[in-house]
Amino acid sequence: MSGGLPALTRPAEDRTDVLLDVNDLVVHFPAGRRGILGPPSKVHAVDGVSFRVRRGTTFGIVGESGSGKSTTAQAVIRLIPATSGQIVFDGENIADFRGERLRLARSKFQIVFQDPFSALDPRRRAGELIREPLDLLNIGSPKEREARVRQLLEEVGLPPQAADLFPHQFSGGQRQRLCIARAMAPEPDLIVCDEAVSALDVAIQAQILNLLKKLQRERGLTYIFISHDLGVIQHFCDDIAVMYLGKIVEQAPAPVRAILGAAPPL
Amino acid sequence: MTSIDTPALPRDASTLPSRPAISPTLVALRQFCRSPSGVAGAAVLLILVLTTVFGPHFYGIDPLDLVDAPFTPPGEDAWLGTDYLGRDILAGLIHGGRATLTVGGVAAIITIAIGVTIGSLSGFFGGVIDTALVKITEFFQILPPLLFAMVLVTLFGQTLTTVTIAIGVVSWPTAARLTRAEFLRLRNLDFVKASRAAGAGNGHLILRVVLPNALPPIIVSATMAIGVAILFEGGLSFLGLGDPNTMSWGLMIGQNRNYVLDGWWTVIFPGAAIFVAVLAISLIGDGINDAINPRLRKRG
Repeated sequence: MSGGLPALTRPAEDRTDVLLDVNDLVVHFPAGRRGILGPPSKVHAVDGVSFRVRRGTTFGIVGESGSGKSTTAQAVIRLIPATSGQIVFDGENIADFRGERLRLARSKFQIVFQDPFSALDPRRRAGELIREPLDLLNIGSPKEREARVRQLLEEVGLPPQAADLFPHQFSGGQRQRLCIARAMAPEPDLIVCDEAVSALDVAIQAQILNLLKKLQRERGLTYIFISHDLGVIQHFCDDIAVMYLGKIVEQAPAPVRAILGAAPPL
Repeated sequence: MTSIDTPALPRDASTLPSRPAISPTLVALRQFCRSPSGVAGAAVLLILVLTTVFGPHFYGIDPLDLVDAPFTPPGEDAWLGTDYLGRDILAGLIHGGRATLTVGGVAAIITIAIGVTIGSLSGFFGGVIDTALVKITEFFQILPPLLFAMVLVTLFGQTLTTVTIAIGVVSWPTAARLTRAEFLRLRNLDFVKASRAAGAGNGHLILRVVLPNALPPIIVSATMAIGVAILFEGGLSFLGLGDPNTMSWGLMIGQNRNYVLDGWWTVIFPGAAIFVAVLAISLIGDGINDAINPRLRKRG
């Protein structure tokens, strides 16, 4: 780390620099209907969730399987359509964005998925995959994009020749590094880590967590970090929310251990 | 679990292969070249295509000319004999192959174009669009294809173009259902979502992300569609609904069908040509299927 960077400290409790403010987010999935004329039934995947994420911090969401963690996070970055609610990102309600406006806004919020094996298109080389957001969002000239790909590979600790390889030639941890490089490419403010380390073995988990921390320190990134691993959540996150059946049942800054006891046993 | 601030991030290059792998397309191609039946089919089809393309230059008899007495048996006068009007069968095979193979190829392209378009829109968007397109597909699927093609040809005229389009229009539902199923499987995978997050619009997602991954079974089905279209053309011509002004294998069979007992060669040779062509195409389809479906590879 270069010396001039500010040390990671827990920001004070001021609410001035809120990057993301989610208000009463609801996501329902249709689940068929009873009979032909019966009322359509719905699954209440996320049922009125509100939270705030401060800039440069990590917001953790824990909860058991099916509690709506991933749905919440993916709805927040508009990958799953939200039924209702406000998603105020950097002062703008992105829940209302449509079409081209939404597409271009995507450079500001990215995602790293749980399974690095299915999150990379098997038919394309690593370099192309990292370049994709730059090409699609029209960031920089073709030459700058090439340089940026090399720089990103360097930042996530992969050699430049990795750009020519196909995803199946990497190990799980290396693929997750690729996913992180790709998410970093358009210089987002927010990265959703959707169980980003859950599929990796413990040693690799620590590497990836360190990488995420390093990137956060260097670039002031904000994370929404989803996990069911309480240990990981506890030391990685600044604020923690516990979800259960589509609702946030507890929410507190990380040092508070009581809420972890409230999470359903895993 | 407290030592999160490890100062240096270890580089992770330990197990990286030094050379990039060849692309999946090349892998499949290489695999195809190892399948004996696929290569044999490709070779036979290549010979057929070359014969129909260059044959007329070497065998200068017009297929519609009356060159000899009707029903001349195969021999020195006419290598494969003449038909009921005295037209040369070999010339008919060579020239007719052009029409038949072209109809097969173009009809297959039409089939796949319509089927893939409808199937991908249906599978990708889901919801109301899907319901509507599936209903349309089902409507076309319940019509008896040969009967429907006959109606189209009767309505719009017996030309090779009409026949080709009619074959394409009646056979796309299978391709549409196949494409839809592949799109349904692929559209919710993480890498598609990741692409959307990376700023991909619907067009880019359909054409550049999902379609390339859905392509293998579609290619197999396209190959098979050529064979089906050739058989279809034969069937229509046999029923007298082919283009009477263009020599094709189906037309030869159709026009000579009443004289099978007087001159077997008038029907057997074009019939054999259709059989060989369709068999070759099926073998190619099988070869491609084995090449792109790793689970079947061991079968040999």
